[in-house]
Amino acid sequence: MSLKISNLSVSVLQKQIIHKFSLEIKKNEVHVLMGPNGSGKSSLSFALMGHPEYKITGGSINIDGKDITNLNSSEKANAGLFLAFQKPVPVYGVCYFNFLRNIYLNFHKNNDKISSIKQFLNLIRNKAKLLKIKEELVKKSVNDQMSGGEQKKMEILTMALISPKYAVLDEIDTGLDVDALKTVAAGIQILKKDSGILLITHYQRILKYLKPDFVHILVKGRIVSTGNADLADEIEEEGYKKYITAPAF
Amino acid sequence: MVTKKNSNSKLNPKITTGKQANEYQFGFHNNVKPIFKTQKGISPKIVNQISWQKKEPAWMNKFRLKALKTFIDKPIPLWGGDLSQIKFSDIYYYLKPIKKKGKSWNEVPKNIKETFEKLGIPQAERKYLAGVETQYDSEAIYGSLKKDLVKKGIIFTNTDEALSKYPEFFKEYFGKIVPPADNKFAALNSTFWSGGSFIYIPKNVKVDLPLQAYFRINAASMGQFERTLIIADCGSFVHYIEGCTAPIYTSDSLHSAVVEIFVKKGARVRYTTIQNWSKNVYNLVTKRAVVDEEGTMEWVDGNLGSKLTMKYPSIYLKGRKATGEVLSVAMAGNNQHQDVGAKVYHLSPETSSRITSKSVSKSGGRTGYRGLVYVAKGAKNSNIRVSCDALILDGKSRADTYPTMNINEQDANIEHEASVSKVSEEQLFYLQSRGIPKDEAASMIVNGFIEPIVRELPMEYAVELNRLMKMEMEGSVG
Amino acid sequence: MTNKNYSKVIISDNKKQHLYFINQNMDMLTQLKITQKKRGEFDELIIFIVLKNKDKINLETKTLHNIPKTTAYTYVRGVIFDNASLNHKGLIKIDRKANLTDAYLSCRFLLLGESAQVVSLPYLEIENNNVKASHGVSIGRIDKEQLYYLESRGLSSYQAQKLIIEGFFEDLLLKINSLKEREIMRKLIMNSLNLN
Repeated sequence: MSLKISNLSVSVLQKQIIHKFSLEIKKNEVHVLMGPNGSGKSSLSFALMGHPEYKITGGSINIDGKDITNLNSSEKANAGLFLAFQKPVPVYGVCYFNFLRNIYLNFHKNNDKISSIKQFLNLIRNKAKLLKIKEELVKKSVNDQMSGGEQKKMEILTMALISPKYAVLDEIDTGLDVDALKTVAAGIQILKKDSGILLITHYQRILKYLKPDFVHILVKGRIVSTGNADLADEIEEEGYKKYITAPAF
Repeated sequence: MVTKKNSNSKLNPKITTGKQANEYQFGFHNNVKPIFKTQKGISPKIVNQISWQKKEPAWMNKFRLKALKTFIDKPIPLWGGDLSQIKFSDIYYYLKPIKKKGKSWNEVPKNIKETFEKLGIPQAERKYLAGVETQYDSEAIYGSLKKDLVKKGIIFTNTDEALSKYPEFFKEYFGKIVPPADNKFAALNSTFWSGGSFIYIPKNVKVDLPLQAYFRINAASMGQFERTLIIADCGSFVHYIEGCTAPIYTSDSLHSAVVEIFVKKGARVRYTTIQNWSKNVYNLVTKRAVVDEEGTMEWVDGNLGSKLTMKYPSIYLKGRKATGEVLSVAMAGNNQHQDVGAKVYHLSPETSSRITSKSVSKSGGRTGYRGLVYVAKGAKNSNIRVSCDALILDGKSRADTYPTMNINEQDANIEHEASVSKVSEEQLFYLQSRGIPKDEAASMIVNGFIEPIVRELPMEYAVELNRLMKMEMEGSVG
Repeated sequence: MTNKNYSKVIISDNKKQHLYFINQNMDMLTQLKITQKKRGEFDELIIFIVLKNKDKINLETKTLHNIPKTTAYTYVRGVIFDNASLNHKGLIKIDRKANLTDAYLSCRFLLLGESAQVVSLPYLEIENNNVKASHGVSIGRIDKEQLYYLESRGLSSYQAQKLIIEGFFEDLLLKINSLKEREIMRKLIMNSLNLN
């Protein structure tokens, strides 16, 4: 039971960005993906989720044995994959609460027990409280009139609501102050009990509050090194120099 | 249900369920023998018959005849939509409404009942819309509301009735804001007008509930040439609503209404229209309000149906500190052309206005925003904001904007912006990544697009409009 | 100082800039049209207008898009004094086949005369949905707050106005890719602005 990415190659605007990328993530595991700017981290997350402009030119993506490589985005989400966006997209005029309700109803459509609006409101309130999200945010349009940090926390709230099998968190730490960082890290710690997590990060600040099981370095679309939490410390000390000048294999 | 052999009604439904967008077009033909019907076409003889039938005062008959001449003299406008196909000589201009024998609810086709269900149309209205009942029975709900109005000195009646009950008052206001010579279709309406609402709100009286709230399908407001007159005396407030989101079939193909509104000092009037006429209708409407000092006029205009709508609610900000707002939402599908907008005239200092227009075109439909902002010399410290956004959902459809700003006062501030785009790929991807299928995502985005205007509608309209948009959107993202 | 109109086309990077300075009374309609023939073409129409006394200008700008992947931006900045009047119609038209067009019109007008007039008609006719098409128009007078601010720093009303008006054209001047042309244009504007 895992998210298995095998030899994945991705191109965007006719340019190859990811080259034969392989990775396997199990439930309860936190994998961190780091790399210098332009290494392809976000491209990977978009391609995994089925963004129309990112073409998978080779390899496969499997969730718990099911091949989801060529499914469209909503099919992938329904198969158990979640992406927390680096830049959450504003959707004007669509109330966040209604949006969450729609999502909830979709993911629980085969359940006998569906909470009423009132129960659902309480559910959202509780999760918002845990993530220290101001209640008024839920009344606003999706990702409109919210700071970057607030948007990111809402991504986590959405993830908590869906409880996906595997989640890709694209730079969830960018734009968060220390308190928010701690809160989000704590949230992820709880969520990892039910999900396998791929945490894409540029600054590693969050790793102070969340211990990764595996750390991978991505350079020019290829994994150049894999290790444990110590690898992250090494990068913090020495940067990526070592990996950028290393010969590509 | 058994239909009597010598019944006057013949059920002849033409229902098409388009694959593309769940488009419902239903026609019921009641071959009714009316009590009185003029011949087809236009002539003074017909006008005289109408005046005689209505037992009108001589001045009104004269007014109609003069308007007829104006109508004949004026050329058909070459801008806006395509009016070249209208056969004026082939239309019945007057049909005295009678109690028609309706059909039974059982005979109403299943998919029409389903539309009503999907839109959440209240039970009481479904029978009326389906032609099962021809009189909207509102007495039960509406009766007590009426008594309350009368107590406050409010006049709310049919325009025909107002002419006979309050002749002097009527004459003082009728035709003063939209004279017959204003445009060809105002002249047509002035010649053949019948029905519509006449409303007078006394000084400082504020009407809490929207008028027509309980009586949405007013037989008077479904006429071809309704004429509505609203007079809001100093300090008063009224919200008037006409129309309905559910598609209305009518065999009349030409609708030419005129609405005149007087907003006196410090008064406020809000006029909401939702129209969803069937696709054979030419909907050519002149709506105009004149606002005195410190008064406010708000037009909320929703255009969903008709083959061609040409309608530009206007506001003359005559008095100092007068304000106006126009909120317009338009949707054009296959073979539809919505040419809509707003006109605002700033004639005094410290006046302000805001125009917001949102339109959606799909399946080959065409939307156009046509607007005018005029600031007269001397209208110092005037403030205007205009924002027009159009969504084109596929490669077959079209959106135009034709705004005009005519500014003659240096001490004024005008901001105008417009954009045309499709449903954003990024937004679609984001919503889909949360498990929402593409069609549903597109319809959420479109509903979100028109939300700023829909939120200004009374609740039941807003809900219905959202559902209607959702239905229209099915399968339409190209 | 004789009033003079001026125009120049600059080609730089991947785009063509069409520069215009208009401050002469013209009875005829001035039509400035951009029609692109090849994919990838990028044109900018940059127009500076200073009108005084009884100047009357009838200006029409059009960008017509009928092939895919073209970009055209039109910028009009005008200051209208005294009894002068400007009538500007700006059309952006995108045909059915003109996929991936990027078109934009931006107009800013300052009215600085008791009887100054501007009639602005920014039109959009769009038949393809895979495009970017928008426009913005703002018409007004010198911001009173800005005037007050400058005067509070010791400038006379006349000096303050002059500075603000010069600043009004500055953002558009900075768009001109050639330093030489930018200076020519700036000089033309400053000379014509010599407030009598």
